[in-house]
Amino acid sequence: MFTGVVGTRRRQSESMIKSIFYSRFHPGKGPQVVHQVPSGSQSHNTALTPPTTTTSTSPPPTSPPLFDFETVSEYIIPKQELCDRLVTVCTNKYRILGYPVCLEDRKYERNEFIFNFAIVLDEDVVEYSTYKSVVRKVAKLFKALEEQSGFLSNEVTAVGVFALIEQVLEDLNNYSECMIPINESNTINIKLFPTYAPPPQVKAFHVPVCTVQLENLMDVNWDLTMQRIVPFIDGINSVRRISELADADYSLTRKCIEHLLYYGCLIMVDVFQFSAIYACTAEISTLVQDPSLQEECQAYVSYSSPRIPFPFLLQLYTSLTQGLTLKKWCMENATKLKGIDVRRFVSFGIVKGFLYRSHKYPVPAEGKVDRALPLARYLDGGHHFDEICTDLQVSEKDVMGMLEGRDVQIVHR
Amino acid sequence: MQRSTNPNPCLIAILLIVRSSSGVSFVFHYPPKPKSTPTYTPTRLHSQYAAYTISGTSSPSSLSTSGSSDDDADDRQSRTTARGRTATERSDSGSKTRSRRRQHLKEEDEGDGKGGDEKGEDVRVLGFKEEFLAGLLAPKERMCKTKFELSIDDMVFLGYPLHVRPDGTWRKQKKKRGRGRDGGGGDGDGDLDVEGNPDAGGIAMGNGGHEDDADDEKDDEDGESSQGGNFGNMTMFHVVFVLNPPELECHSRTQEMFDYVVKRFARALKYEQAKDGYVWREAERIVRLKDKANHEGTSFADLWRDILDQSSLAYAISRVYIDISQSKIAHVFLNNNLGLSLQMPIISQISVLPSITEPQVPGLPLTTANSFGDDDTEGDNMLAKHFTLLFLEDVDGILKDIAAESTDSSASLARFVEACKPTMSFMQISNSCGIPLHEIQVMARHLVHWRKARAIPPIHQRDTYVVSPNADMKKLHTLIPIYNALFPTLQPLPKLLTLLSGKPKPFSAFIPSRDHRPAYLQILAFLIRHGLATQLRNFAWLRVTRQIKRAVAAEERRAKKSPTDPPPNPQLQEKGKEKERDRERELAKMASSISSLLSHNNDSDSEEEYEDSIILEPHQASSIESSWLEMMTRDQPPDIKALFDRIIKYLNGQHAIEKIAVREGIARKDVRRVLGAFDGFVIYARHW
Repeated sequence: MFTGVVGTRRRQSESMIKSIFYSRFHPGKGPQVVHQVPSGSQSHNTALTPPTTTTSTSPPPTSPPLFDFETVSEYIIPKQELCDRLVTVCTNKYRILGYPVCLEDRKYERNEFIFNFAIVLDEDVVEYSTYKSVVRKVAKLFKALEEQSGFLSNEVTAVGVFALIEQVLEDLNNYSECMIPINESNTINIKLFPTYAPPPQVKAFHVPVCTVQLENLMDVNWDLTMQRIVPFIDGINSVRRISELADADYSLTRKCIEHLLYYGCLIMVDVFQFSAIYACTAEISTLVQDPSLQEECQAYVSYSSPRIPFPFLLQLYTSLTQGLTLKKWCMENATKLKGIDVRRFVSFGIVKGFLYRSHKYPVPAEGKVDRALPLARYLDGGHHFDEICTDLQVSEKDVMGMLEGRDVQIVHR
Repeated sequence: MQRSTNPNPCLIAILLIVRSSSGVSFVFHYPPKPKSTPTYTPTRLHSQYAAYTISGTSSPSSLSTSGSSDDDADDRQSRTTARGRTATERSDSGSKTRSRRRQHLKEEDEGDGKGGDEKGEDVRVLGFKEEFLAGLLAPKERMCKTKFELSIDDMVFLGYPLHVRPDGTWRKQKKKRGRGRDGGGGDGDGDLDVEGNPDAGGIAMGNGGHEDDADDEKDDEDGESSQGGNFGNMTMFHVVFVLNPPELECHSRTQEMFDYVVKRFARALKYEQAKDGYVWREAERIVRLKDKANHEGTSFADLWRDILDQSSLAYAISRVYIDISQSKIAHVFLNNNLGLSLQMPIISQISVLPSITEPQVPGLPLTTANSFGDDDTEGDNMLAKHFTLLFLEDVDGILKDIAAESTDSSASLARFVEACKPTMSFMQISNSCGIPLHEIQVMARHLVHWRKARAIPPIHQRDTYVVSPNADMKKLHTLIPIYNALFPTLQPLPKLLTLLSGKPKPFSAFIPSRDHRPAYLQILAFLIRHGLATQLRNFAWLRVTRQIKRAVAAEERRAKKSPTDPPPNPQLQEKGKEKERDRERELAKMASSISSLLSHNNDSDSEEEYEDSIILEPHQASSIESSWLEMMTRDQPPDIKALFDRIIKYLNGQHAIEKIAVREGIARKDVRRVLGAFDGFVIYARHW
């Protein structure tokens, strides 16, 4: 519907992972790096060298080590309190993400087996939260493997770990995902997902506008409420109205909308009304400077085929002003609006952010509210008419009627 | 004044860890019972966001204080947490239902586990035993004097651990430890805001008699036998800031906290430690109080009160926690000597109105007038002198603060603060009170930096103001009593806002009489100060009508036919092409009109050939644009033409028309006159 706002979210850039290493607590020697890719990423005083048998194509450790394992070993192979938790530590400009795991069993030499598969990133990588789930997942997988078959404690199978982590590193850096079979029943399945911001709170008076063709995405496996409400998401109905039209529970409807919002399938606008007031924001200048946005605008707002010159549209947009309802504006500009869909004209501006809706707020003149009044809880100045009307499911006129005779000022913001 | 419009500091607690010859000790933490969520919620929405990513694992319920309101908060917390978790879990597993079920299981598990744990009598902070935290947060020497960042689940431990030097001193020094007299230099601590007088350094703390002895024999015996009061005993101290940033902001929040608070605070402590063992002395004092309380069975609350009473370091830590977690400025006074002010930078105004689903910071001033930058290099120097300050606090209070500090510059600072009126520009203030303009600007930046004032274009009754679309309507009922106290006889605040809600008019339209003007301008200042009103300013673009284009084209054709003049077209085409290559995107439309103009110039014109367009950068007009501009100005008298040439560079939608007069030194009247002459060609947009 609106190009450009469609969920084009960033892909993870390549070769983010500097190193993956497997370390464990050695009963005799203490914390040890057992395997690391690429080799020599961490310097460690112990005599363990990564096996160069397997499929390893890694270059000899010519580059200097990333950091000194000894310095941070207490955070990689920590005390029990930190096990089964995500522990990250920064050292030498690198961030080490680990998830130490402690297995207790009498078969182990000290009755416990502590290990950690850690990922090393540059410290200034801003979006490292993606890798948190990777580290968690790998830890849980190897924990299960160890519990099932002693995969890590058995020296024969433990040799294979190097090849595994090497593959994980390469695949995640190159393809952002990996699928590596370990044995008949276990596979490392990882995909890097970008972390999105939590969805903002959806209000009853919000109007969702699709950025994608939801009908085309939807299949029979989708959530039932979702299937019911999608046909009513048309850029006109408010969330409350959608739940009514779809005969769906309001709170479920809201949840569905939040999900769609989270994945960028929707954007939210205000209820469109001719009694509403719209005015320009400072973003109007970006519209003037962006020819492709202007073309989009021209195509979106007009019914008819002849294209409306942009300066003409700009003049119309800038003539929207505070204190002037859309209805009045339409009457003033009746002759100029030929071929223009006013609703689309306004919603384009709202979606692109160069128009804003000036809301009406009832404010008691004295600042104090008589608690006994029917609308008292809406009169602290923090509630606009859209909210009051959708909440009470009455028209603006009715609300005005209820406020009649009270000393209430209407403030437009 | 309370400014709730700040970024989220996400600070949960501050810990003090010390390593001495007797081992690592967990000396102090504040608040006494930290929760894994900040107690102070700077703005509702921010904290809500923060809550999404907070893990419940580290908030043992028995440690968080009870009381009904807290319980409510906790409930809300856990609800949002659960929701936030599913959102994050969703991203690593495809099926929502599965993850949700898993979520439930997990939470129940945690609940159970905790119930068992809590029965133990160990003192736990943030869900960990104190000794464990101490060990964890006392890094090896190699990790000292650099950023320390450790995170456990969603809790970040951030610090700047400092280790004693191999020679047993805390600071590189040419001579032997010179105490007191060295006035703050030498440590690379140029960025410390030293307010106190370093000369006071030698004065001992009131109740620390025997520590002075320790002072005297302090020097070189680091690591030697551990005698009670010797501050050489301590080998490392670490002030750890515990944060719980929202997942996506983790990096920026922690980095900011480190740069502006953690590092500066640690360095200031090191400076005092190097001077006379301040940190160690205070650490010992706190530990002694704790031991004593342990013996005597003093209650936890009493103990904390005693500690804050008796230890200036503990008090400083508590101040830093309280103020920084509320996004305020923390003023601390260390060792009876060093005044330090810490703050996280805040956004003081925005130019883009957030959409309804973006995080809102209501109350934040909304304007594009930001020509008075944070430092000399920023902003528009020509315009900066035409700005002024709007004080965010009571002027008397600011004057009192200035008087309390009493430095060399405080006299002129006070004079400036007294002279500064929001209706007068810096230049006018300079002329009236005799302080040089550049000094005024330095002082103004100082006041802005310390959040005492905001730089605005001077307010004027001829300018237009509206209710700010970012006004904090929820705060209105708290502002009404303040307003009523300030302006008891004038129109009530809601009424005034209603007036400003109509079609925009110059502010003078609301002033009943000339006598009311000063009072109404004060009201306006009040509205702007509280973000309730903002100035609407005009921005303009030049539109070329198709009539102009046709006229230019016709003229060119005539010129071509006339044999005396060289044919301008090929040349024009060349030039046009050249310019296009540079600015192809902006001029894509222009190009098409040029080519259409050229390709059709032999045919007779029809209306459709030309379309109105906008000249984006009139002062860098292409040749065809120049011809259009020439055609537009052709019939104007020369003085208008001259003025038009001066102001044309502002007609690109980036500059407020209101500032042209002061910027160019033209009378407002003349600006109006020129623009009036080109009325048909100018498109105005009104915004902030």
